[in-house]
Amino acid sequence: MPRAQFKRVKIAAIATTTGPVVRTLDDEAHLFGDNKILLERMRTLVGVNSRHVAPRGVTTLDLCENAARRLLAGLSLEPEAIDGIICVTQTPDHWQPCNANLLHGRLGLPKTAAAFDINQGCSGWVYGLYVACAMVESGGCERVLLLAGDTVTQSINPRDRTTVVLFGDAGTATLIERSAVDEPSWFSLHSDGRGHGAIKIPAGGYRQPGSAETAVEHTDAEGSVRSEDNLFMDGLEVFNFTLREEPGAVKEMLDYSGHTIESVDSFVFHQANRFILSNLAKRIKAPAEKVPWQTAERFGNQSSASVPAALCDALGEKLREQSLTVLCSGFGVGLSWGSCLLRLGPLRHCSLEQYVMPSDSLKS
Amino acid sequence: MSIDQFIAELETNIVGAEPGTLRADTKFRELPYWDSLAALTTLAAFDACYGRQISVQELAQCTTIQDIHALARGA
Repeated sequence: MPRAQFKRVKIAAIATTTGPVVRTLDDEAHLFGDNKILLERMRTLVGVNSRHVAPRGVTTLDLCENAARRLLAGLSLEPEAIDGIICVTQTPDHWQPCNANLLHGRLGLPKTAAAFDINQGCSGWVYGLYVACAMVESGGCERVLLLAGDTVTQSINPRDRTTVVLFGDAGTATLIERSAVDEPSWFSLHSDGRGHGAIKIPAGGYRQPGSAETAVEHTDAEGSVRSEDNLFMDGLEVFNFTLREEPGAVKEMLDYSGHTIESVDSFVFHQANRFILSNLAKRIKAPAEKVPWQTAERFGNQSSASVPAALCDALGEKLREQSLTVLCSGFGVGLSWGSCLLRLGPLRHCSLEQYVMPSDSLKS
Repeated sequence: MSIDQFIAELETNIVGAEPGTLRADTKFRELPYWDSLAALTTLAAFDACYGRQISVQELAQCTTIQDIHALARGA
């Protein structure tokens, strides 16, 4: 099992850039036949409030570049100081080359920097952090830039009410660097490929290339519309998967690190939605105030960006000033889940901003 | 946990099932706002009441609330 402890590596800074357009549940009221009871249920039970989305033309790469530039400027760090760049995304600009190479060029990083993508979603930031920490701890790198982000909303059918109200778009940048003093962190990664069908875009890859046929829309029993080119999510299976695997993952992390529910300051889970997170908090018997879900309510489910976004959004103020013991855990598409327990902060930079559309793209 | 407590939990959480409207023999799929989100709420209520999960397939085989409650004893 890929369990690991790292000693001389730490997170120095995190920046998040959310999608430029804010949508609220009221904007999607027509999907629920303007039924006030059904809309109220989405708001109060699932915790759907607002979402920040990226319209077509704004990509994960743009959002991550924005976050990375803010982080580097915040630390007054020259591009030459970076010797590794990892992008975590399932919504890249191209099949080839990968986002990390494109951003390596855009950010003007030196040729001595390694660049590659990790194709993983909701668990992806933890996977990427594991790899980045290993690259630094092994002595190969001094500073690695980890850019996790997704624009999942662009693959969702606007008439699929089971998913459209849940998701948002964001890009994040996390700087991992060598530490002069011991900064122990613990990691554990898991997967269950048998459950791959629960969250899936069936067409558009090499197995089933996108075509006129895969773009044909179908209406399901509850009136939601989607094609084979769109994201499908089986909410019941994903809920069961989360409550089946995550409590064990949390316990494993606590046992491995010697921590307890009491000694951890905050449990920052993948911001799926309030319904899943509040049930998870009950299951692991953590006080609700230690399990933030405000990021999901305000920005939507941001896939690979959600854990760092929650660190900036829910804990940013504290993390700029002090250090906290934080258990982070991402879970979802794959199926895949990964957890880590670390001492975080005080961070030299920690910010969350909304992407501003370049004025020329507004005109076109 | 008794079936009355399970029913109370469902009435608190399922939209369109106001307190006092559900009975053991209620066919839950015939409730006015029954959909996949109501099914999700039922899975969560079962987990909260009995401390264990039921699979989507197990729920699919149930017709009444009594059927769901019986799954707890089958554990």
